[in-house]
Amino acid sequence: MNHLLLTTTARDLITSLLTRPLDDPTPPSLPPGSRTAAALRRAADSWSLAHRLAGDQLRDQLRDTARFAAHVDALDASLARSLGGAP
Amino acid sequence: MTLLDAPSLRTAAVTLTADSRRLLDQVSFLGREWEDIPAAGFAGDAATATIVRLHHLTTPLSVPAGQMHEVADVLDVAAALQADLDEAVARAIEVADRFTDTAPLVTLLLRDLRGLGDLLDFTCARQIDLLCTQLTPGPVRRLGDAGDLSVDAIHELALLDASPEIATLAAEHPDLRLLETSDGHLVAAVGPLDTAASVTTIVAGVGSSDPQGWPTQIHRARSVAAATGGATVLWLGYTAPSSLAHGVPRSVAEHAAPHLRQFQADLAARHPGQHRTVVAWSYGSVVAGEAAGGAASTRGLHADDLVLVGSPGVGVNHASDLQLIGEEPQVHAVTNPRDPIGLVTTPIDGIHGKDPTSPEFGARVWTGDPTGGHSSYWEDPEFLANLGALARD
Repeated sequence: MNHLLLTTTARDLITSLLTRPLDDPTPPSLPPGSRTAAALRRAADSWSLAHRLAGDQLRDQLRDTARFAAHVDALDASLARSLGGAP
Repeated sequence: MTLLDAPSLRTAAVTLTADSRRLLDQVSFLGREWEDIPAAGFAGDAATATIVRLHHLTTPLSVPAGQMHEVADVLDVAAALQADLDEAVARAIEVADRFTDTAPLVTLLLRDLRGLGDLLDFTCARQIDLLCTQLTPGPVRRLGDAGDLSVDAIHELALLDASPEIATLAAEHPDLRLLETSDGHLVAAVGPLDTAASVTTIVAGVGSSDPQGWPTQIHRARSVAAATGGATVLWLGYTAPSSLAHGVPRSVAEHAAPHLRQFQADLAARHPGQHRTVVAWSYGSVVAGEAAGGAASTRGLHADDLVLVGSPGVGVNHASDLQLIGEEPQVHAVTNPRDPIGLVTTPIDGIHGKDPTSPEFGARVWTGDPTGGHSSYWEDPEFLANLGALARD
C-alpha cells in the first residue's frame, strides 16, 4: 500500500476546481431558411448536450474527490484525537 | 428554401474555428490542472486513481471541439463554392444585360446555377448531420429520397451519377430534368414539375430502354406537356424488353411494377394536390397494369387517371380490378384500328389479358385515329386533347 499524502493546498485546489465554471460551446448561427442553417442548429444542440454531459461527469468526479479529501481529513483529525489520548 | 450566402458561411466558419480552438485550449488547460493536484500534495492509490479518471473524463470535452473544426471546414468549402456560384450568376446577368438575344440561354443558366445552389445547401446540411448527429441520411436514388430538394437540384445531383448517354441527352435537351438515373434507368421530366397543376407520367414499352430512341420519347413528352399545360414525366425506370419477342413474358412487368408504384407514390407525397395521370403505352400498360392490379398485398397506383394506349392487355379482366389511388380515379383505353397490337388481344383474352378497349373490360374507351398505327398516338390531336382534358378535369 502506498502512503497517503493530502496537503491543505491540494484540498483547496480541488475545491477551487469544483467551483470553476467550464466554458460552453458558443457556435454561430446562419441566417434562417436554409437546410445548412437548420443542420448547424442541430449540430449546436448536439455539441451543447455532449459538453454538458462531459462537464457534469467531471464535476461529479471532482465532487467525489473533494468528499474523499474531506473524509480523510476528518478521519485523520479524529484519529489524532483518539491516539493522542484526548477525552 | 433559402439559398446560402457566402459571407455568412465564411463568418460562421471563422467563428466556429475560433470557438473550437477555445474549447480545445480549455481541455489542455484542464489536463494541466489535474496534474497540478498531485504536485500540490495529493498522493497515494486513491489520488492516482482519481487523477487518471479526471483525465479520462476530460476527453469527451474535446469531441464537440473536433466536430466544430470539421464543420468549419465544410462551411469554408461551401462558402468558396457559393461565392463561385454568385460570381457566375452576376456574370450571366451582365451578359443578359449587354446582349438581349442571350436572355433565353441566360435564363437556363440561372436556373441551373440556382439548382446547384440548392444542391450545395442540401449537401452541406447532410455533411453536417453526418459529422455531428445520429442522423445518417442515405444516398439519393429515388425521387422520394430527395426530400424538399428542388427539381433543378435533383437534376444536378442525378447528373453526377448519370451514364454518358444520359449526360449527353441532358446536354442536348436542356428542358429535360433528370429525376432518377440509377442502374442506367432514366426517369426525367419536362415542364414545371414542382409548380404544375398536373403531371402526366408516360410509361413506355418495348425498346424504350434503348438510348437511340430517347430523343423521340422526349419529343413525345413535350407534346403531352404542351397538351396538358402541366409537367410530363418520361418513366423508363425499368429495363424494357428489347423486342416484341421479349415483350411477351410478364416477368419484366412484375419486376418493374414496384418501381413505378413507388415513383407515383413519391410524386404524390411531394405534391399531394397535383392531378396525376399515367399514360401507359404498349408493354408499358402491362407494367402499369401490374402496378395497379398485381398481388393484392402490394397493389395500388397513385393516379387519378390511367390511360392504356395500344395495350396488349394489362393482366386483369376488368378495369375495376385496377386499384388507382386518386380522386375519382378512372381507367381509359385507346387502340388505333390499324395498330397491330390489336392482333394480340381480344375481348375474351390475349397474351396479357383481355383487350382494354373491349366493352367487357369496362374502361372509358377513346376513339382511335382511323389511320394511326402503334406509334402515332403522340401526334394525334384528339388523343392529346383528351389528355389535356384529363389534366384540367
